[in-house]
Amino acid sequence: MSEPEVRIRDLRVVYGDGRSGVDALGPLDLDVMRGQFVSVVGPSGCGKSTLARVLVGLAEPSAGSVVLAANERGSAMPSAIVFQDHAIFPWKTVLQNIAFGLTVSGVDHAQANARARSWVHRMGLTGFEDSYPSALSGGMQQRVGVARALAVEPDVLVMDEPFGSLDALLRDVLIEELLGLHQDLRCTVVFITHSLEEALVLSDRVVVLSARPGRILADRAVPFPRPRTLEVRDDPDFGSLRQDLWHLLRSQVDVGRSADERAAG
Amino acid sequence: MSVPQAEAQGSTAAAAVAGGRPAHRRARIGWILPLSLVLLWEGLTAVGVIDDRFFPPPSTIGIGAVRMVAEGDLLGDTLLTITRIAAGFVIGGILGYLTGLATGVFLTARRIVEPTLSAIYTVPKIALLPVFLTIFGFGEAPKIALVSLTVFFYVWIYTMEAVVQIPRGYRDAARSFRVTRRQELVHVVMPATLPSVFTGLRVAIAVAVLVTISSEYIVGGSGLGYLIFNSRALFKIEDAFVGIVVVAFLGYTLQLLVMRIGARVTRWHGSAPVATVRVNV
Ligand SMILES: Nc1ncnc2c1ncn2[C@@H]1O[C@H](COP(=O)(O)OP(=O)(O)O)[C@@H](O)[C@H]1O
Ligand SMILES: [Mg+2]
Repeated sequence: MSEPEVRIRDLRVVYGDGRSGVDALGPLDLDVMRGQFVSVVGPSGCGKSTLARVLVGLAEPSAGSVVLAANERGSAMPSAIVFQDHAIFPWKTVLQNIAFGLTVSGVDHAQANARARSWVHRMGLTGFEDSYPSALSGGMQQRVGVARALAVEPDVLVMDEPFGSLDALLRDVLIEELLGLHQDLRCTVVFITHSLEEALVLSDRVVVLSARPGRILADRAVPFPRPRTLEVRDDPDFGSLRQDLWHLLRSQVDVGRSADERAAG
Repeated sequence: MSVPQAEAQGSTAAAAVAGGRPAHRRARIGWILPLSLVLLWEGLTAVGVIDDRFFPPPSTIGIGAVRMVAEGDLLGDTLLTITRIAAGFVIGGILGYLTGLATGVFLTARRIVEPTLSAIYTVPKIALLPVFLTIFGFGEAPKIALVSLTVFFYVWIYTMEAVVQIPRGYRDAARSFRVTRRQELVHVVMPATLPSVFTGLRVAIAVAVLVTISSEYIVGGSGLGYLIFNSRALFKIEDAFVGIVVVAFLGYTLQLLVMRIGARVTRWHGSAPVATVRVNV
């Protein structure tokens, strides 16, 4: 059995300290194997973004450990993230945005541009290289965000509700594109979402978190073969899996609410 | 992957055309009011409603300007005033920008200096002129120092507030690529704050004109401020009005210049630097 690409042990994150500290996440144990696409779903405020931030080094574990195998290998960019909002820099052109991660890691200008350009084409952004994000639609902006993260060839791609602010139709388009990308690249992905449907269509595994502080309630394999399309949604097993996970999630939303009511009362 | 052309809100070229035309039209509309006032003034003096001994008509002011240029002192005074404004603007602008970045980025620095600077900020700068005269003597130094100080405060406050208000997402995005602090400054903090910095610079240049003229007025000797004051004292009302008109043009031109440069370097930004501004001399 090979080493997992992401190895999380007893992870806890607490914001602030002492009695006023907020328990945001954990304790949590999770392994993600190389090339695996894992979705993390959970009620709002359960610590999903916190987990994503820890994975890209934007937050520190308060206890426990997060080990990326790529770090041990001395990889240049062990992980990269795609955010929901404020994803891309409005003062940089599409090409400059995509090349950003390469530029700041010291890749020389010509090579960074060449690699960014190939991502421009791959993401269907040809012709918009020199446009500023304000001239792009939300969907195209998010493609730039995905390209910027993938251009550095991260060992683990972290996505924090990347399609959360797009309309349903556009979200479907981007989900299909992401399925294609994962099929080609076989990269390890940790995909944060609150949509069970998104999680089931995209992933090899779906992890359900409890209400805050998020702990693992369920960890289900998604059996549908790859390459996949959005049509897996019509599979009868899709419906029952979704139903099953939905009941779990729903119980947590109620837990969260009654906890909030107690806190307020 | 599909190419969703229809999704784009329009090419940059189309956006530039759409954004450019109304701006030009707005600029033209802006000339209607001053032009009407000039014509009204001319007309009312011609029929004798306005006393032209105290309010010489625009035509007389125009002729006066030509005479003053020929006599040789108007251009010299204008140039001196511009030099003082420019020197103060550059010195104060650079120091204000650097201080703004530092206090914006470092919370501790902000906590140390903010109360003091905020207290000085509310003092009308022109009230400090006597102090500066005592410190710097009667040469160019006190005037330029006063303008620099004024400009410094505007640029400092606008820059600091802009740094503090950068959405956290931009910094996080940069940090997720393990940037150094220097890279974060160059790639995020400095560009993100440019629109606000230019709004600050625009206010600053307007106030710099005001402070320069006032200090020339008070200190005397040379410059457009002195010219206006001195002409009035000698009952050369016409010459005083020439000075006032030149100052108005100067203020307008300098603001326009700053705005044009700002629009150019923040082309990515949807709108032009804000027009409504707070002024506190
Ligand atoms: N910087 C922070 N300081 C204090 N509390 C925070 C901070 N960030 C998040 N939290 C709290 O931690 C909990 C988890 O937040 P988050 O990870 O953003 O949840 P999710 O992404 O699942 O909605 C929430 O209750 C949130 O209010
Ligand atoms: Mg979140």
